[in-house]
Amino acid sequence: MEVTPDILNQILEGERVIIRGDKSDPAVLCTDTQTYDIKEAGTSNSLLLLPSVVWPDEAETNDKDDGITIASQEVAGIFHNYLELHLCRPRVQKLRYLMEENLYTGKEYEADNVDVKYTFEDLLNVIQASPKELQTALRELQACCIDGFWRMLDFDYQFSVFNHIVNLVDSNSWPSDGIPLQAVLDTLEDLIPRKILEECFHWYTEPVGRTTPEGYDLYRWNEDKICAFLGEVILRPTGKFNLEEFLYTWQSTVPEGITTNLNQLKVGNLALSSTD
Amino acid sequence: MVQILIRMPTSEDSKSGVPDWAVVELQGDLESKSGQEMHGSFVGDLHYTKKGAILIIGHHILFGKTVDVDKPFIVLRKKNSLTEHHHEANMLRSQKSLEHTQEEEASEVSVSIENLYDKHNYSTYYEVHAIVRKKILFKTRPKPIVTNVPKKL
Repeated sequence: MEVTPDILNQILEGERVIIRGDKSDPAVLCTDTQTYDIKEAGTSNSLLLLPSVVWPDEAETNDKDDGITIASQEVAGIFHNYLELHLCRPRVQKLRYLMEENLYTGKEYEADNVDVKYTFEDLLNVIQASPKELQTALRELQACCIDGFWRMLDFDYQFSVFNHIVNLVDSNSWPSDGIPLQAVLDTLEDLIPRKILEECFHWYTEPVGRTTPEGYDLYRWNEDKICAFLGEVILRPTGKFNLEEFLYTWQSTVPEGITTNLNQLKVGNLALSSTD
Repeated sequence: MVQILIRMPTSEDSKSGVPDWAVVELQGDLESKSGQEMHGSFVGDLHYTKKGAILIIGHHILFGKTVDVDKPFIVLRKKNSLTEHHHEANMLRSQKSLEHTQEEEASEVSVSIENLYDKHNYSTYYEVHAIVRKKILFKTRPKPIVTNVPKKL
């Protein structure tokens, strides 16, 4: 197999280099951070594999008086084909499908939940990607690690978590650019697992760079993300929505101080508008 | 789904690390005159000169030189951990735990069966047998060696 100097070093250092795939999948090779397609390359040339060889510089030092040294070498094999590696994108499309098999809908439903759940290692067993690429994909899906299992949140549940946070901010009259994460976690963690709270909180806020007098980090709403999220909340149940009515509803749904803007919906390819 | 590990040999298998092998690359195919199996047959003579390398196969001569390969090759050997000594160790372990559980509650038995299967039981894996970093490349087409042609008078 032809590899890169990088991959060779990783193998030499004992890092995980693994071929992954289902019997029907094309094989890929994964390091800790990257994925490569494995292809068979052919050449019309003959490649003779020599287990031991005396290189030119070595041969000179072996020179005897008559200037000729004969060493016998055995050819291990003659090849016309070898395996080649091509850097490729990880195959993570399956991940969303797997996550959707068992969406997280709330603490109260978990006791009866017997559907399949995946740990990170379980996922590596079924997804053709490197650990780092899998982590990135999970983050993009907004999945959370709950009790060691990676779960995607049911959309309505996500909305209810969001509402809890927004209502808490309102009822405490915190400024939209001065939200203390710690207080949110402490207050709501009986209702919602702390891990989920924290993940959701970070999806819709940005650090401000300041802290409370006690030293807790302060955050502000990430306007674009919130508007996109709420836009999706409104559009999901309805197939079509009159543009004017939508814009009005949308603006009145977002927290105070935030302005909606159709460009925010374009980011996730959330909405298409037609002229009627 | 399968996960096949590519790894270095364990210290029990190799005493001095993985050896460097070489590749001799030449144009075309090697054939035996009589069409017989080439196993164990003599191939040719490799000579090193000041300029590079010369390979004489049969009545052909090829000129080439030693170069570093663009990307290193690894020579892999397919192995199956279930047929290696690890298998024996697993069997011993499971036997011991079965004996142990006979004295205990029936609910313990299921745990011992799980011990047979290592969570990371890659039953097939590839071991790096050798690394190729250099090759002796013969780019020119083989030239037939013609014995002395008498000069025209």
